[in-house]
Amino acid sequence: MKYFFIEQIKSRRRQLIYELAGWSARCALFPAGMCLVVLAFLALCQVRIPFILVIPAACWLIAGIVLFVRNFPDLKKTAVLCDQIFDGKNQFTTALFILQNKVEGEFADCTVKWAVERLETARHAPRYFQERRDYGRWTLLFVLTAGAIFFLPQFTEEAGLGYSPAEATRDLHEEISIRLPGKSPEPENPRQNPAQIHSAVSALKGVSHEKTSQGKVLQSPASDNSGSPHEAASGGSGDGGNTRPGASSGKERKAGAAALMPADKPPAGKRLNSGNGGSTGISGLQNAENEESSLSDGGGDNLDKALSEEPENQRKNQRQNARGGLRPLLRDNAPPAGRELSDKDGHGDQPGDGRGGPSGHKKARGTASWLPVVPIPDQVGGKLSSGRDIEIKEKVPPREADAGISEPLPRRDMDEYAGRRQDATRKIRLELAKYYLQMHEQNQSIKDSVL
Amino acid sequence: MNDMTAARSIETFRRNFSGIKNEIEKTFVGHSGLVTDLLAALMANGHVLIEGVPGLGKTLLVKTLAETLKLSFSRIQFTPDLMPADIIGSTVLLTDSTGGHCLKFREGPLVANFILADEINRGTPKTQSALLEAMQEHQVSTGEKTIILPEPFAVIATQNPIEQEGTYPLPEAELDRFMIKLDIGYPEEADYLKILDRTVGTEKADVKTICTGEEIIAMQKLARQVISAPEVENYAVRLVMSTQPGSAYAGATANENVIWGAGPRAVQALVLIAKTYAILDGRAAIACEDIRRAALPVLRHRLKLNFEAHLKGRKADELLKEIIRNLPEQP
Repeated sequence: MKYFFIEQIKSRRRQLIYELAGWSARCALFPAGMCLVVLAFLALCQVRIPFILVIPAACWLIAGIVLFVRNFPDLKKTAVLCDQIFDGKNQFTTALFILQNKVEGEFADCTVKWAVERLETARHAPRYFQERRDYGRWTLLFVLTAGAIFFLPQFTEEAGLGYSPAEATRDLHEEISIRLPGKSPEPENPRQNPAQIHSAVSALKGVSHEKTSQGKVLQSPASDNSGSPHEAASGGSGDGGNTRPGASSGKERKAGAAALMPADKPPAGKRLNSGNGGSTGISGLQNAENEESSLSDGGGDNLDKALSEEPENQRKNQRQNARGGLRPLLRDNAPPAGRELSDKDGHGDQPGDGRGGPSGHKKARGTASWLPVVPIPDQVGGKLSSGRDIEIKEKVPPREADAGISEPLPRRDMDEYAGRRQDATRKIRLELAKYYLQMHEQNQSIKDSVL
Repeated sequence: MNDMTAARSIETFRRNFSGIKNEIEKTFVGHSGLVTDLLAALMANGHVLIEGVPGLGKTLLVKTLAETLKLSFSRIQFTPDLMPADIIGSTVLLTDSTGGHCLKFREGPLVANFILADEINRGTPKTQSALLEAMQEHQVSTGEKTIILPEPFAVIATQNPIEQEGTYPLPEAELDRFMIKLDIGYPEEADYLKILDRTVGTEKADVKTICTGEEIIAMQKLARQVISAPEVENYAVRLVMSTQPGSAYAGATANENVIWGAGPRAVQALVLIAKTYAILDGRAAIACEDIRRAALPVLRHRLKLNFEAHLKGRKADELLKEIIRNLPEQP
């Protein structure tokens, strides 16, 4: 019975291993294969594929191997899985524990027997990893989505359907060199040339700039103004519409430039600026737009003047914006308002001299100052308090000279004191005797006894 | 074969168990699960705390149980003036046959198989603590004498959850000695008619004796032979530890609502009760399912909820269900 149970468990373990291998393969090989299929498709389209794109496929293969190793079932794990699959109520785990630890007893045998009977009856149990098949679908979806996000921009760029700012600038340089053969292309740094600033700004908004023979810079609208103004200002990488003349072909730009010779002035009221959205958010761009919109109504005569003043205005606006926005200038050069809460006395707000003490009536602070004509003096006359008493104690060490004070006084003769007391008593007696003698002159015996 | 003997023993156990339960249900209507839990605690050699409003048959339940098992039964009505000597017994002065006097120890009502401690929360803590040694050691000590209590010995205490004025809540040490706590509620509508049929008429239910004390002891020993695998014991340990805030297995439920959780006695109680449930299910080994079934009666009185839990109106049963739901069988 015990041997039969072990064999049953091993058989179930083999079945679980086969299931696990299939599941791991589905989870890993399928997405890895899809990655390779996408790479092959791109290769057929003659798209240059960097080697790094092969790494995702390799990662999926490694993930599949890791999944297989982590979930590889041993005998104990097989028993646990059998308890879950066949509702064994931990009996298979207990039976395996009994057999591995050689537990003896009636109840041990009974448990093993029950587990064997249960395994025999559970022949058509559902596969454990069957419900985990969804992992393959989710990984496939993830791979396709990631591939679309990653590969599609490069694919559209190669086909010339996408927009690239670097290419627009490069095309512009080429045109300049074509139309003005003697003039070298402007330096790359647009800040050194105001015209380049304007051209770069307009290029971002999809307006091409052409230079006339006099060196004036004219704007040409988009080759097809059917698009909305905001489309030209938006920066959609996936937008391959015709509203971006900056990236249009060279022939279209040349045709547009020829149409804008000095004799051909743009009609009044025609909007040259197709990018009124101003979504770039730069104040310089906004001012450039304002200038351009005013130019659209005024014709080309003021164009040069406006363009020359434009960089200076841009710099001024940038400074003002750095200070938090446009502010009025202090033309009168008046001193700033004073913050001293002191009486003016007709001299204005003068700073204090730094000396303390009472300085006259001051402005009141606090709640009472809300009430009008309620003077609250800063100082109230009164009686000065006596202040507090300060008692300082210091310890004085005893001096050597004071040591003699502690010696007792010399003892005096007590008789000396007794004699003085007897003399006083005698005197009092004599006085008393005289008194009695005066009182009793007739009694001689009394006189003798007293004397 | 040994397994046949075990199977036969299990079958005998189940038959006696169901017989006792059927006899009890002749007088105690409804609450079938409660009776099963009570008997399971008896088979696990544990004590029971029953909480319910008056008039639900708590005393009748214990009396019927004692009649079914033909065991001695004592009822102790706890009052505020009850003293420990009134329960344990005391030494009295008696006159012997020669006319002299002698001291003799008179045993109290605690010396019996089944003790019904009615409204135990009305007794003073001093009197309540007199039960501690009896419940733990199955003996009582008085003066120079130590009295061994008869086996099987079980204390079934009752308390009223609504009248808390003038009561003394049981201390945690004593609560921990009760293996399970059963909450008895109102019966179902159909049970009311059965109660009327059996109580207001002239007929009286005749309760037969199913088992003797020795058979109960044999059943208790049989229940202890049920095998518990390390995985299941580990699950019981993790379940108890998940009720202790701050432990490795405690989740947000325990950390936010519990001051202190169950201890080692709870683990012992879980495994012992689970063994009885396994035998009732016809198995020779316990399962995690048995642990979960025993969790609520064993743990509900061992959790000390904090003020926030009381403020939110959260009960121990609700928290335990949440803990059980979030605890996986395998670590």
